[in-house]
Amino acid sequence: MSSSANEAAARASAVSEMGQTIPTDAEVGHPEGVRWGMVVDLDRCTGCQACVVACQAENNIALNEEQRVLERRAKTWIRIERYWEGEFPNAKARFIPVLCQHCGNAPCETVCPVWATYHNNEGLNVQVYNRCIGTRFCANGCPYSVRYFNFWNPEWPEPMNNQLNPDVTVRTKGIIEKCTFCVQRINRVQVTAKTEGREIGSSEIQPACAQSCPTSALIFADLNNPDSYPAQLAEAEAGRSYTLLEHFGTDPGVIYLKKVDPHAEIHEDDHAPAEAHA
Amino acid sequence: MSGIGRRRFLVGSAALAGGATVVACAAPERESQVQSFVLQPELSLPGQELWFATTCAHSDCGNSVVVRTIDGRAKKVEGNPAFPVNQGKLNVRSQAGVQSLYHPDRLTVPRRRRGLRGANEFEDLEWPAGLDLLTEKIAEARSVVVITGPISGTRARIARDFATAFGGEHLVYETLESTVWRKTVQDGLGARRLPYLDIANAHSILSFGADFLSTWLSPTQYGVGYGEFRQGHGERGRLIQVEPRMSLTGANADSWVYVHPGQEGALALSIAQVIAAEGLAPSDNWFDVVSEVGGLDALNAYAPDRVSERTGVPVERIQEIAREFASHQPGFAIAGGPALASTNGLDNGLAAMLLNHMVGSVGQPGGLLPNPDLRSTVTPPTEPTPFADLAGRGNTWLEDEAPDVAIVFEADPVYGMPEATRFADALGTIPFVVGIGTIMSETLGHSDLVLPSTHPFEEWGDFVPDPAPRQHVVGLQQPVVRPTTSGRSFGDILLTLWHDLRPDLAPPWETMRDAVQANAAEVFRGGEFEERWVELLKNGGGWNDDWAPEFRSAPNWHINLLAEPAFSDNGIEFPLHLIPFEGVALGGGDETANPWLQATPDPISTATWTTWVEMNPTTAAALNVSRGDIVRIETAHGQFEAGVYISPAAAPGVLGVPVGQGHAFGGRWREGRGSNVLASLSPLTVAGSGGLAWAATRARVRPTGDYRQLPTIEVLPNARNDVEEVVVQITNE
Amino acid sequence: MQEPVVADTKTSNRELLDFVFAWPAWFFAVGGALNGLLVAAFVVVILMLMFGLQFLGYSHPVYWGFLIVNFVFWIGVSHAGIMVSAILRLTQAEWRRPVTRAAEVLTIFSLLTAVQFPLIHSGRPWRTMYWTFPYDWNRGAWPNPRSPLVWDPSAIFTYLTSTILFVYVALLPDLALARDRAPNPVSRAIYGVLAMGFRGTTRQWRIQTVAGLLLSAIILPIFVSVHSIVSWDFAVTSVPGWHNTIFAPYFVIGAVHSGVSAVVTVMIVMRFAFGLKRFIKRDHIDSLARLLIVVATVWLFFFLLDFFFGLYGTEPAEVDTWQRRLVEPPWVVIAITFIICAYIIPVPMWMFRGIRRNFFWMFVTTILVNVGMWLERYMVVVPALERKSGLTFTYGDYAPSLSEFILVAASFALVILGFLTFSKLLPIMPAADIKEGQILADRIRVGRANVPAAMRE
Ligand SMILES: Nc1nc2c(c(=O)[nH]1)N[C@H]1C(S)=C(S)[C@@H](COP(=O)(O)OP(=O)(O)OC[C@H]3O[C@@H](n4cnc5c(=O)[nH]c(N)nc54)[C@H](O)[C@@H]3O)O[C@H]1N2
Ligand SMILES: Nc1nc2c(c(=O)[nH]1)N[C@H]1C(S)=C(S)[C@@H](COP(=O)(O)OP(=O)(O)OC[C@H]3O[C@@H](n4cnc5c(=O)[nH]c(N)nc54)[C@H](O)[C@@H]3O)O[C@H]1N2
Ligand code: SF4
Ligand code: SF4
Ligand code: SF4
Ligand code: SF4
Ligand code: SF4
Repeated sequence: MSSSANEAAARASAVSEMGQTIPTDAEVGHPEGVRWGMVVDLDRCTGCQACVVACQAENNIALNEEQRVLERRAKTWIRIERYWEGEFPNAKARFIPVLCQHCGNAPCETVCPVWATYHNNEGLNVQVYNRCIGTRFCANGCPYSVRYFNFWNPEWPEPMNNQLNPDVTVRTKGIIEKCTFCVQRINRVQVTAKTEGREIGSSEIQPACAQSCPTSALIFADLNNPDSYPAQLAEAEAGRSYTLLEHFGTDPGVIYLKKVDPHAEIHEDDHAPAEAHA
Repeated sequence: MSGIGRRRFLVGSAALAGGATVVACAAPERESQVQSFVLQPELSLPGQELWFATTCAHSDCGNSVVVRTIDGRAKKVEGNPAFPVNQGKLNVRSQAGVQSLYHPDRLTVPRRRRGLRGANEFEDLEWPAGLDLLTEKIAEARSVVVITGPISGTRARIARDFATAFGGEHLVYETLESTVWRKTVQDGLGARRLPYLDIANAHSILSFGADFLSTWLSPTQYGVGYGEFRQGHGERGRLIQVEPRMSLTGANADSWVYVHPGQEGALALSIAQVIAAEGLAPSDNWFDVVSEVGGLDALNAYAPDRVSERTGVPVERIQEIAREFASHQPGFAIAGGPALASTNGLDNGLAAMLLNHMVGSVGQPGGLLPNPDLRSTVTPPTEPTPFADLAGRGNTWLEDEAPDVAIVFEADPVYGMPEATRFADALGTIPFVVGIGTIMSETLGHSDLVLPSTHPFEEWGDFVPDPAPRQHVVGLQQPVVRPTTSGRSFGDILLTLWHDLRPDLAPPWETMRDAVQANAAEVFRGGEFEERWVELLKNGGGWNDDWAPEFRSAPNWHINLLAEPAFSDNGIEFPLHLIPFEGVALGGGDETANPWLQATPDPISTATWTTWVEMNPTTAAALNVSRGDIVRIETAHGQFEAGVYISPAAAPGVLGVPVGQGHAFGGRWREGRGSNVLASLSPLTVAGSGGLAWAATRARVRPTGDYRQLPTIEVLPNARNDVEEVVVQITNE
Repeated sequence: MQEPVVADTKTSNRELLDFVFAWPAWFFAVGGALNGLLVAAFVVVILMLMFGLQFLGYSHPVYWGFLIVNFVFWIGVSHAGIMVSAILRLTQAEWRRPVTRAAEVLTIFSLLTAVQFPLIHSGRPWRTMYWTFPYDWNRGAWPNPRSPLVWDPSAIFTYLTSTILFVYVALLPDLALARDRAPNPVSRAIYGVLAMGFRGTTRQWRIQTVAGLLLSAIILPIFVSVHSIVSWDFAVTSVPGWHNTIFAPYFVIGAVHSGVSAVVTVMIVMRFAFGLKRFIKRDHIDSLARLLIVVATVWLFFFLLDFFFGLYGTEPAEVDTWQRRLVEPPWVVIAITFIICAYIIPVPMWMFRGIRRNFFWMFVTTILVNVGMWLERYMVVVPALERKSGLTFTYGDYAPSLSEFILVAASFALVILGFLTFSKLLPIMPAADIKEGQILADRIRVGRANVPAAMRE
């Protein structure tokens, strides 16, 4: 795949789907077919940032120079949000990896005028860079603020460009980019499996972030496949699993498993303050 | 989950039929070179990916990686799924290997000093000229000193023997070195090699300042264990972190306990006392253990009510810790970071070790397990030269005589040694200093001759993970791409010199590749070697379960030996404690040239690209400074500036400052940003080990009146989990 | 109650067409200054096209700001014209006559200005220009009918087309007039073509009048739809503080508020700039001011509804947005300023006849209204994005950059310049309409009150 794989995949399915009908919210998520998703175990995550750099490396994300950080235009498709609870000496830091939730009912998709972001038939919220005209409407619509706009053309001083991943498009100025669930990796495995005439192994596909994560806090697979580890994990840990900003009704494809704190007093209502310290 | 599909990466390794082809099949000479389908270099089809197993380029934590290459260019680093240390996983720094490989500011040709030392005025040389110059200097030299970072395997062996052969010695410099922990292990466990921490099977970990999830020793290995520790087995492990400044590990602890700097030992003994008094230990042999190190009376002097004030930990809290730790066995205690970096660090470590002996976690599953001794044929990992010795050398060089030539590789003592030691001056007394590296550093900047070295992804080598994963492991390093500069590997340079100057004493091998292959042949005997060799390269090394020695039954130490910590200067003029720390991305500072790592947010402050100081709100209020204000931090031995980050986790009276910034050399992304806290540290040492007591420096803060927005990825100060909505939902299971 | 315009046909013709053929010095001064601003804006836009939107104050996650606010503002202003003249035409309000033309022209130019903004605001304008049109360019996908950004262009361009038609039809007789009065053959030729051979035959008059009325009737629903759709750019998203059912009527009435005020401002300027004392009279301003009192009050009602809906929902994020809008600095300042400017000062003042009939005070108050209404849009759009969801870690702040200020200033320049140019080329006062009014007026004085009205159109 010398041209961008996600590009190609998105195009292909876009055309076939848009050709006939617009997918309705009912179709979205495709209960019968594949739905790629991720289980994030907050009790394993240490906030070590390995996933963040892994994603930068895999997906040709522009360098976040200091000026970019100061301008708040740094791009991190997955970011570790750190929330404080309490004060010294009982202060607690809570870490949570936030990436595109690949919502089954994505607020970003309905508002895109040109189908640059839409739901593909494997449950991915796809971003077609070639189509995006940079209205940033989707970024407003996304309650998780995981869409990042390209305010300039990215630059990699020679010979740094040697590192760029040929499977991933380098995004030009004026368009939105975000986590793709490493669709280029999904495609590679799918193509290989197809040419070898076999099923895809349950954990054969590994997004860069999940691959790197030392504590295995990120687990990626087909949520619709009851045999997949995440599906079973979400099942087994039903007590701990929740989705982010549930009340938005976005039907996320990312399932979080609650952080365990034996010394915390628990507030069930997630809108109530959780002043929870030993 | 076997990391990147095992299949794919075997394809890559299959390319290795005889390592030579690997080099042959690697990158085109120059970017512009054109290939067509009909005329292809072997094995490099456009778009065809190849995976090569080799060493991690950035972290000393003994990771092995597989590098994805396409068209002969390295694209992505991933954990080597076969390797027992990191088991397919990686940390931030390992990920950045490809970026340092293609760093635009890499040294490309040899350079000779023009101006004054450190003036950064150099002229380019051809390799032959550079080598002739060096050969000639060494030929005249009476003694040659070789200074490197922590290295192991064949490379270490060559460095050591080379130094000896030329009447010198091999010094190993490590920022915030592991000396004290090594000594603690020797005295506390009687072990020659660092133990294996069975985190995965532990039900509790009591860590005195050891930031094992971030930078301590082998974070990836420990991270893998930690995942299992939390959710891998029936009973969820309890993590108790005791430290004066909240580290990343502390931020993940179930119980984070603030303790006054240097008082970790007293607290450990107090916990031991509670365990003894309340009979919490699972078995009775705790009594013998305690008797061997001074007996109950000595221990009772540390009853919670006696040490509560001294340690700053309330009595009940001490009892809680003891109960939580003892009631969740198997579990173990470790010490690191500030705990070992106080003048009484070794005592702190041994006090912690006593807890392991009392709860019987020594040598037991879920506790500390012994690592096998290295086979005679393997060179043990070089242990860092203790700070005291290094500083001592410096004085000798200054006061009476210095060696004639110094060869420095992958070590930056000029940056890392406290200014008070005048190490830069000491190095200055050496007539001819040769710096070898991939990119400029302070030390290379102070050299007379700078030789570009190959990047770890461009050279041959082997390494011995330390601490080992309970197995006898030798990792292999092979070129994954053709060298992108004229650089030569450190080993090859030494071998060349050696063969030119002292053929008689020179080792049999001409190149590192021969050396590595020869040593591998010695270590991994049996079978037809060519096959074996390819197999080894495929897997990224070889490992076997070897017999491991028993641990000692009790630390060889006496409770009454526990000393009060000493601090630089008085507490009136310098009321605050300065606690430097290694960030998860920048570590000791070698990584600061790398934009990915510079831009990686510190997990606690989410700050990037700069030097900040973590301050408690009350401390900040007293100084009348707020987030982003630039303050000058003064110690008895220096001063530096940093931006204020107000942290609800920071203790009053404690300043947390990240190590790594403040370089004058090292390329566009490293030079002239932030400041170097290490330079201002007081040269205090840890009694009994000679390690640098880097947490024993007192400081005061002066607002400068300047303000500079902190480059944090968190936009508004201190997002809280309890406003708006509980984002990170919590359960107490 | 209206005092009719008294002037014989000759004088009115002269005075009405005077400016078209005259070249006062101030025209060049003002024109030059405005063009200066446009050039500056042009440079900014070129830079944005070449180097991306990095010059704007936008950042993650606040991706919309001044430019969108300005878009909404000008769409709003554009509503005045048509609304005024269409409604007044349909209701045959006598006093409308001098007002209509100015109002319609204002509409056209503010619309043309408004549409620039979503364009230059997008990341790749060269594609935005045509990709949002309902046509399957070679992308294999029609535009997404679920997106308001596809509704917008349709609505706006329909509005623009019908408005231009509307004005043109009304303009025909005056074009003919200009043709007949034109000093040199060239301009005579041009006006001739434009006048499409309007010679004032009864049949032509009838067609022209009927067309005018029909267009008035057609345009009203369009203009309601346009600002409703603009409001849906916000209302259909899930952004707390945006997704409110009240938005459509709230935006429409707000548009009328700022629009009608703008018309008043413009008329007062024209009165003095073009020396139209005899045609723009206190009565006109007075009547518009009365209209404004009603509009403003309804608008305020909707604003409060929006606020209460937010509170009664007790959706934390929603409440948080309102708190940010009304309580937290710097927004509290903006909130107070806008409500004072848009209602608290003007409306009570308009209660007094003296002020309604005072050009100076009406000028000041109507300007205030539009200052207030601009800030209102700013307050609706930005704070919601700054505090979007419960993920407080990603809360952001917005600070406009110099570029944004230049672009906004230039948008005003563009409208004024367009207005001037128009008034230079064509009679800005509907001469024919006014004269018709005079003639009718004469009749009225002869016959019994109101009766002749029955004989009209
Ligand atoms: N990624 C990538 N893109 C490229 C190139 C590349 O090397 N890589 N090469 C470029 C070049 S040089 C070229 S020429 C173009 C070629 O690009 P295309 O013109 O797309 O060529 P193909 O994709 O080979 O064939 C197009 C389709 O024609 C179908 N087809 C085959 N035989 C027939 C037939 O008899 N009748 C009909 N109606 N259809 C038929 C094939 O099944 C295929 O679906 O691609 C260009 N783009
Ligand atoms: N099985 C199969 N075979 C096909 C086709 C097919 O569809 N299927 N398609 C056919 C068609 S349509 C075509 S066009 C051919 C394409 O076949 P080729 O002509 O081989 O085209 P490329 O695959 O692009 O390889 C051309 C080489 O030129 C090099 N190159 C790139 N830029 C430059 C440059 O600026 N200067 C020079 N000197 N070299 C450069 C590239 O590195 C590449 O190695 O393949 C034909 N063969
Ligand atoms: S967009 Fe690029 S990759 Fe895709 S078809 Fe066109 S040229 Fe090829
Ligand atoms: S790599 Fe894993 S543990 Fe580290 S921050 Fe990411 S998710 Fe958390
Ligand atoms: S997380 Fe945001 S970007 Fe991703 S699918 Fe949901 S709404 Fe769209
Ligand atoms: S920015 Fe791109 S993806 Fe987002 S809505 Fe606009 S066109 Fe669609
Ligand atoms: S799934 Fe891929 S794209 Fe998404 S965050 Fe992880 S690494 Fe980045």
